Amino acid sequence: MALLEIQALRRRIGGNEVLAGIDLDVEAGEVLALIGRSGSGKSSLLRCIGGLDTADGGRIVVDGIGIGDAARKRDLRERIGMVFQSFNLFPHLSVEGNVTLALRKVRGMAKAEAREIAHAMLEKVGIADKAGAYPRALSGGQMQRVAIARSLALQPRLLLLDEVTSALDPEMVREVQNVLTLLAAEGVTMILVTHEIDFARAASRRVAFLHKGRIGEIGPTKQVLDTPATAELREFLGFRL
Amino acid sequence: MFREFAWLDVISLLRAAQWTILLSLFAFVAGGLVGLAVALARVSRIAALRYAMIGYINLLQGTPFLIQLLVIYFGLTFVGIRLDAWSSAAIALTLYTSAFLGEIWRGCIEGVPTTQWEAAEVLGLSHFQKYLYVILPQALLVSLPATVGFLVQIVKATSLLSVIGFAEIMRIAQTINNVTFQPFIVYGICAVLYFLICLPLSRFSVYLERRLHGVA
Repeated sequence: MALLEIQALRRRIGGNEVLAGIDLDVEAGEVLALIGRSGSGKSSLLRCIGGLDTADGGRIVVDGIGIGDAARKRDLRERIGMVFQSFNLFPHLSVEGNVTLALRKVRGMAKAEAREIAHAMLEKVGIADKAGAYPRALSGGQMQRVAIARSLALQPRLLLLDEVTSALDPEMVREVQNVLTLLAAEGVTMILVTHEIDFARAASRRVAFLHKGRIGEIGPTKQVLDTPATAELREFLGFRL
Repeated sequence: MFREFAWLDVISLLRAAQWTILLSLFAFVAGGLVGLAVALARVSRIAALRYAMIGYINLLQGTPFLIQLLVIYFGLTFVGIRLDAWSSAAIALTLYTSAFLGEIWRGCIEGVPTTQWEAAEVLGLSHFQKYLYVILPQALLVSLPATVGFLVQIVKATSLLSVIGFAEIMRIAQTINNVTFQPFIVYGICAVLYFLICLPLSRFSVYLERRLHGVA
């Protein structure tokens, strides 16, 4: 059984069908990149999986639990982590406070235990020396790495990354990319939404190209990006390259 | 017969200033607690609660504090509720302060970006925890300058309590003026006292505004 199973997923916003029937399986340990133009539905899809938006039809099952299953909402939350384009760190908490908040309040850990985990995660993303700093004192790349550490601390089965490098300078993109490569090597299952083809190429093993709310093409990264089968993807890649 | 204004009168006014400060603090604490509830109800997911609070806020912000005070102290006796000056003052100040602080804080709560709610949601925090650990600390931080600024309004509003016989600065000043008939000196000192209480608050509000700029 795949870690994530999506069947006939639909979502409308106003009169627009932003997701027009998505079927998608993601295996444990896989890194999938969702690419496509603005408005193609890639962020919507990710937000539906993350439980931030509600689908109008179809179903999403993560690790055997259906999204929308109110009785198991908590179990589901524990399994899915999400990182945003604009980092969304809590500005009133230090880096350590950001990472330990959910460990302490949701998982009910003692302060010392939560701190230990936080430091291990910050170490992993290479930013342990900033544990006491506040978000406003960090660069974009540093903030995004803290956001990743905050998510990882909860040991999600599935990590969703929404345009996590789009707000960053090229140098900082590399910082974040290195962290994601490391996580991929550790077998963390990730779905990343991006419009940067180089990033998709470097970070993912499989790519899904979304077009008008549907999956236009899906397959191994190299194959899909080097030999696109549809005119839409060729145009999209040509436009970008 | 009138007598001369004496140093003893200044001491009386200073004693009365203690009441002004005490009443202001009471209004701030009690009004703040109720105001927090008002703010939370105002942004509640329950529509009836939201509308009830809009009514509450409009009513209290749309009528003079003096009228509210008179209705509570004198008006309620006609429906069989007899309140002493202390209770009337406490209730009036609490209602008045809660409406204004509630509205200030509602704005600040709504000013916290949606993305902060989402970040808290994906971490698994409950609705209550989101408020407690993520939203309210940021909202209250942003609201500090306006909150402290409103404290100045409360201090000045306490002068109206003189009409129900409270021995705060204004009341004592009236009494002293009645026997000395030196309004310029008496009310002048009165103004200076209010100014000395309010100035540090205003300055503190400005300081907070500068200090917190860009923090949250």
